[in-house]
Amino acid sequence: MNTALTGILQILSPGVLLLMLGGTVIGLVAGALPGISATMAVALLVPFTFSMPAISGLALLGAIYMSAIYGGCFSAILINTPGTPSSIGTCFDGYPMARQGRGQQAIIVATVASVLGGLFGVAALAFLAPPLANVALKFGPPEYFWVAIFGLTIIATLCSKSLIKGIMGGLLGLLISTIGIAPIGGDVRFTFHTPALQGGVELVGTLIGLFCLPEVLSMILDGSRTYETVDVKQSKGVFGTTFRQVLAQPMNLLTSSVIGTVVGIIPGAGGSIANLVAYNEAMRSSKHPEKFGTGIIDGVIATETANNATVGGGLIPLLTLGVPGTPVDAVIYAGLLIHGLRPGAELFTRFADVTYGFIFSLFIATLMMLPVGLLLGTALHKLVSKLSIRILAPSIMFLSIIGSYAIRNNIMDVWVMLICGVIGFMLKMLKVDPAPVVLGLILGPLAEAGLVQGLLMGRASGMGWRLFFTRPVSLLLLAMSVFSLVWPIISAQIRRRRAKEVGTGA
Amino acid sequence: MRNSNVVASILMLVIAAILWPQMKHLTYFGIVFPRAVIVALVAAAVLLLLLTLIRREAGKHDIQAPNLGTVAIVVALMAVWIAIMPWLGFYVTSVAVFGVLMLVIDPSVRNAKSFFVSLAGVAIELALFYVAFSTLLEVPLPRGILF
Amino acid sequence: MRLARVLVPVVILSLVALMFGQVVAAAGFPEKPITYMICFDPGGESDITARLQQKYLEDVLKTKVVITYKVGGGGAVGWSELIRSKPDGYTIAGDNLPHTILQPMQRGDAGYTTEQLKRVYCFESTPCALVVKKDSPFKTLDDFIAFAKKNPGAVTLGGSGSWTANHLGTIELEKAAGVKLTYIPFTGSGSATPALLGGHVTGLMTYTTMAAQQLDKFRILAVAAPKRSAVFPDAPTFRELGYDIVEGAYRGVSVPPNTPDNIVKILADAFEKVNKNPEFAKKMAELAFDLEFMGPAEYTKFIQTRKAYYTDLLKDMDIKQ
Repeated sequence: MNTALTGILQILSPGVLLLMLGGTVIGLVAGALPGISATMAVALLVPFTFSMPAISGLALLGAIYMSAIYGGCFSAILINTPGTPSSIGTCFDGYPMARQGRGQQAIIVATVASVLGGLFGVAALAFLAPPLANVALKFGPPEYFWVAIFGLTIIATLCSKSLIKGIMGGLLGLLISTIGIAPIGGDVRFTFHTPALQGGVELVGTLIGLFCLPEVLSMILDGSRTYETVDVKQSKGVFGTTFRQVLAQPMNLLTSSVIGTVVGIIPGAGGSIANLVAYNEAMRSSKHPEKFGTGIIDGVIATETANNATVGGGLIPLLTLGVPGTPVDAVIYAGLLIHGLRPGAELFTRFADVTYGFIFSLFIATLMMLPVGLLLGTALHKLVSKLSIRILAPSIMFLSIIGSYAIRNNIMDVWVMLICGVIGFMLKMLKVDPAPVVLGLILGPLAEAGLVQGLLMGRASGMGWRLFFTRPVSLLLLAMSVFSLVWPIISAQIRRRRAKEVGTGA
Repeated sequence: MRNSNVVASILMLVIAAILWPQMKHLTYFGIVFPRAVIVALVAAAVLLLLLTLIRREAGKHDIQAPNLGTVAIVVALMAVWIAIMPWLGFYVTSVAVFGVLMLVIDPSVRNAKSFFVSLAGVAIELALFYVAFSTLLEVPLPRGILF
Repeated sequence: MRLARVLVPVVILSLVALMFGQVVAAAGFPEKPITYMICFDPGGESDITARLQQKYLEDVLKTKVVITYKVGGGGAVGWSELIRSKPDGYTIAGDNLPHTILQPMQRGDAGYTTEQLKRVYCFESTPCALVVKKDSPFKTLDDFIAFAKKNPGAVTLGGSGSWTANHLGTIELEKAAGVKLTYIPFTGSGSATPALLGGHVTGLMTYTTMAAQQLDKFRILAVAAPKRSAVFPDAPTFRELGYDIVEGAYRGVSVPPNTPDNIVKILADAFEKVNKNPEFAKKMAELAFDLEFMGPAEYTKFIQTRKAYYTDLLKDMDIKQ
């Protein structure tokens, strides 16, 4: 424990704190820019850490990671474009809030939720890492298949009004995800003889196209400002009241934190899945699910709490087992290796000072997000709401182009973004929600790899497809999927019956 | 035909019809997942179509077509933007298209001077992004005949 | 606004100047930053190597080396971009074997051919290693083979991707030992590891680098290298145990076709110098990378032999679509 204390004291030196503050700012900006993902921001900074002591380098990377995940909420709220895939669900309620002139409130909600979620995940990392790490190992291919199916059942909640259209959207997303090289067997699929499509369709470009371009187009069509003018005077007491409003939802905060942490632990999943699962859960357990999507803070709390909780969660299997929980963790892993630190038991004994110092630095970094995020968020909000549409609309289009290019330095992704924009606009006209499409796109690779790898396992064990129905964790996930699918229908019926009873009683 | 259910189902059937024949040469492991998805997509589309017909909603016109001309112009401009970027360079293309877009969105510019003042502001805005992305973030933005 | 009027020309002029600085080149290579393209995700073996090389390369070449990522299609997206780049030596890309041999063979049109990549230098390799969990009943390769013989197809081996070194290592083991195994491809060597730790597969055909990271949890049955690794000297090679299997991933750099030979030589010398830097070599060895020292001619010739070997190995398999 003494060595742990040395590490913590090292973090508290002014130099390291300043470095982390810089990291927090970089992460926020990177996260807010669509196209600069948390993975990229961390990867860019890894070489700079080579010349630093391991603990300062890790503190810097951790600060960037944490704040990049949070920074994604700014563009989600202000321009309906998730800055990182971890903030997809934040668009659903954050953007409507901004359109109603409550953008600042949305940013405060997202900030407080992110900080609380981040702290929860890091606490889990600090105190429960070894027992929780084994959760990661319970997930084999069949379980990943069921995780994906469970994720897809969210459509039932999201699109309760037109379920079949939602399902069609989800299937379309799954289909788009199969473009490129097949994960098993290496077949080239649906590339239309374009070599650049071998890499498949990039999620971020698709997100920008589906969410952001239709908004810009309707902004231009409306001709007027999409945002109602913000009353700046109102902003005085807004932090205190909003802070209390967030704390008034302890169950939402707790379940979303747990969802974020657990999804973070499962290798290969991450913030993109966690935020949607949390949104679904918040909506499902809410007393007024019909208000979701119209600009209520519950949705923003759920997504932003969950995505920052994945940071601590994802580091659990990394530090204990050497298994990265999310793509960003893979980059941090490389940073650890280059510093001569091998994840595993040794990290908590021989290098306990570095490890506990790192975990402690994540606490500090999360707390730093509060002032830095509020300052930057308020400034961005003022900027976006002051710009005239003739500057704002082309600026957003410029950001969509540079963002979809930067994610893989590939001009093909920019074309895909534009095509998705047109598709998104058409879907809007056809009243098909774009969210299920994105869900399919995220979960497609997980579902396909899990299915085919599971079939191979089944073939080897002689069980065939029955393998998917015999493993305990698989069965648990299957039960969760059925529940998640059936619940919205049942609850709608209960509500209808209650309404009837009230009606006859009166 | 202005019913969203009908158009959406037909659109999905068309997509399925385009992709189905492309699976001819794939191996079992490459085909098993996309085939299942396409089958489900066709089933969902047919189901929606049938339900709409049974409920006699097919005649319900619920698609509101906005001003498609403006949309087409904006989309075309973006396509031009992406297409000439590799030749003219990222920065020059962006400033030029940005200028045209400003005119398309708000044709009521009072005079040339105010337009060019805004354009100058835009040129700086884009230059900042260009420098930030190409040098700080090390994103190799397309360079053209100019830069 | 007055400030803006001054700033715009200044910004534009300085950008123009920047551009001219880059047009007038070619005399003494290199005169401007070199873009080092990595075709795989950050955090992978290719990325770790490049990140370690970066500083030393900059010292040797006396110019900035910018690492960019062009990820997708198991590397194919980046390589098909490389062959369309300007052949001036300022765009180089990490290339991998057997990927750059097998992708053009298997995919029909991978966007590039093996020969279009002009090879500069091959600097490291990671041999395949057959590993099981520490608590596995298989203590030696013999145990493993004996079980696989009795239960055809029942042994599952996880590895990274299809038609990769891991996949081929499994095929070679099947042929050499006369057994039937079930190879399960994962999306990378990293994502196969938890499958073994969680007991979802019998073993892994992975890389020595991966095995080195999990020494306390893995048991290495055999290494597909000519000689034992310095990081785990107790692990035997396949050859010692009577199976002639040498398989692994080789990593080097390539330039676009038609890049002048003198520029290729300057680059190759620089990579060789980095490889011979004791500090760099020590770091690579710690991570269980094997250093290779193949110059342009030797590397190209090595690829020809490997290509002939793979064509022969896979001739009775349905690799081509």
